Amino acid sequence: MNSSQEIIGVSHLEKKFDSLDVIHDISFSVYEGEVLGIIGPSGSGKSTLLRCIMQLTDVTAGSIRICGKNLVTDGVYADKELLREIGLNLGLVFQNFNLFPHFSVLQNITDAQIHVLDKTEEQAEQTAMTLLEKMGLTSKAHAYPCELSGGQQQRVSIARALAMKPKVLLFDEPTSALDPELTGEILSVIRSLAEEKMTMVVVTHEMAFARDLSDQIIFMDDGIIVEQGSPDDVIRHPRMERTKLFLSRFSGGR
Amino acid sequence: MIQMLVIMLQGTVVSLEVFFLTLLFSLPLGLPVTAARMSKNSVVSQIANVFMLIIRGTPLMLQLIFVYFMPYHIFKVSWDRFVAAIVALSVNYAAYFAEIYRGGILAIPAGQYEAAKVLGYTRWQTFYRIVLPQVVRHIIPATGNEVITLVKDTALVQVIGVAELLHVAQTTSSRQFSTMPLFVAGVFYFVMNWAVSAAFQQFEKKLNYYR
Repeated sequence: MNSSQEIIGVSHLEKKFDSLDVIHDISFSVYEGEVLGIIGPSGSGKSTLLRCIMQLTDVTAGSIRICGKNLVTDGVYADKELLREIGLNLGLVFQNFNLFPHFSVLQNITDAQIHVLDKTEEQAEQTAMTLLEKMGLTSKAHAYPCELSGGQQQRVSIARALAMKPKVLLFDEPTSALDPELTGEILSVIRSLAEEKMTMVVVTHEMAFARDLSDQIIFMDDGIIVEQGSPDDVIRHPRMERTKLFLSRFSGGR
Repeated sequence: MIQMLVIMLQGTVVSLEVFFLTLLFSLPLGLPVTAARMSKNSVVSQIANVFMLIIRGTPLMLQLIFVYFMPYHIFKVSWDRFVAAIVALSVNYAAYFAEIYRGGILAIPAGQYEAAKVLGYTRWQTFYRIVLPQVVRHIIPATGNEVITLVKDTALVQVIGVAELLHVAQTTSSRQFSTMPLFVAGVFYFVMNWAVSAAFQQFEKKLNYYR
């Protein structure tokens, strides 16, 4: 793994909200083509960690490197231009999809390509239709998000993120807002992306999924990394009591 | 009868001029007022706050009188009554529209801004392409309400001597010793507001394609 390029490098990351320590001394790397699964109880700082990487919230201290460029170095951010450039390497899929309700499915996927990446309308639509086909949603191109099921909306949001050609795609509990019978369709989309060697970071409560898909697992609790390693080590043979206790609640996880 | 109607139609034209000019200026003017009101800079937002408190806390009729007579008391020159009427009404309505806009902006979920940021939209693009179209939809009912009120508030400009519809109706009424002109004026206002309601309903229907 170390021979391939580092896509995300996080070191000694700290995030405090007022005096509350949400993330404490977190370090890890994600390499090209790798899938990192992040698991842990609610409120353990998983989402905040993704938000720090996505520049949706400011870090308190530590460093983040994206594709060899320093996003933040010991708590000091890069200049605006570079931040924007780095941000374009990253894609995020939200728990609540956050599709733009006033745009059709197609516009949701083409608008940023046209207005952010300066693609022509034809290029953008071509990319969008290819992605929609992959998501099995060609027939919904002209529908509005409100006309879709949650699973379909989430697939559109994945297509929207992929259309920007990110180097890495981050998922923030992509199935948590979905009915149980709809989670499968999202998980299989993510699985097929993994087969194409898309670099991904997936925050999830789906233990079996994390175990099967990930190259590397991080178990977080109370803002720290409790355990980190291969899925086999962390999920099948956890060493820490905290991890064992957490995993025992997911009977399907082992 | 015909002569009365002709006079009153002339008054209606003045009312419509006041109405459209006020909308033309107050609708856009509400935007910077909202921006100031929502500014993170507390001095700016306080100034906007005080402005809105004064405008919404005093009678519009008083504001019309104030705007028309103030230049005379300060500079000893008077200005055009019609212009004064438009200025006073526009400033007044901008304050109300600003508050409607603010409500519309606050109704946009944080996730919309985050999705836009993550996709690389600039702040201006986020506002223009993502937020504003959704705000417009949110605020149509409240704005329609305000616009209907404006049609009736144009009658207030007669306090500074602008010969709008109600003023004309009153003078005609006393000249002819008849309440008929007042009744006709009522019908005219009603018809104007009927048109306004229909226009807003149409507008709402057109934007009803989602959610």
